[in-house]
Amino acid sequence: MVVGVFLLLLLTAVSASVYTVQRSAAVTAVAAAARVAAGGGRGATGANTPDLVDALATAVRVMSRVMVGTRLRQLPPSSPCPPLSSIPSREVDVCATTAGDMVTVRVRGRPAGPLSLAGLDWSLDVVARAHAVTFAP
Amino acid sequence: METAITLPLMVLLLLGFLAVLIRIEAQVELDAATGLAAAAAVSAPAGSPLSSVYAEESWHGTLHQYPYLEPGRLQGCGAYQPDQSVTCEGTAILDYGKTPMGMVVPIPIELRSTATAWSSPYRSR
Repeated sequence: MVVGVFLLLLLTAVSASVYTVQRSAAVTAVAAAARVAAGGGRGATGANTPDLVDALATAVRVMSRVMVGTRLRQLPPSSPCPPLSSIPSREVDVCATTAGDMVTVRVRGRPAGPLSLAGLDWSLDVVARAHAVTFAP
Repeated sequence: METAITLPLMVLLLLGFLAVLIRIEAQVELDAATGLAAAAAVSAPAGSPLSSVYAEESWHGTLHQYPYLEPGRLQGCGAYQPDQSVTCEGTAILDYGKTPMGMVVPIPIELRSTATAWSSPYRSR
């Protein structure tokens, strides 16, 4: 029995470690993406327009290396993330929205892990907000 | 007899390990929020009190995910002059008492983070 409990606790510890790495990557990803979005888009009219397209791509790129076995779904710009209950297991949604001059980048979902049992899977819901930089003509 | 001693010890070891992971994760989140706050401060017009407003909004908007990590103070994110830096210091309270890890770490821990952002020399409004 002791061996069985030991193995279970070991698996839990490994699972928690993997989740911590995934969560740290998600936090880094939304922070980097928020800065990209706040910097403005390309082209003549992009200076005062948040770059949501490149922000989403940045977030996905940062997370893709540690989200093994997880489907990273990049939502269209300005689309809010769906509720966590409607996101299937082993899927993480990335969304970027604007409200006034504030940019919000959110990562929400359930990444795959060593202990992805129904009801026991770890969930992610990380957000970063930043003001869009504006420039005079 | 050995089982009665070994099992609680293993559970305590696991909780201690999880407490370390939460500590690391909380520091990452605080660092990210403080870094964004510093960047937000220099995105406001130069010499404007909006710097601290932007920084506070970014900081609180980023650092509000979990009840066990309570935002504290954010200092230093005030007005700046073009080509100068802004250094923000943020604090947060990591309250293990709101998690099962409170069994091994019963007291709240104060976390600190410092971030610096440079403003553009051409920033005027």
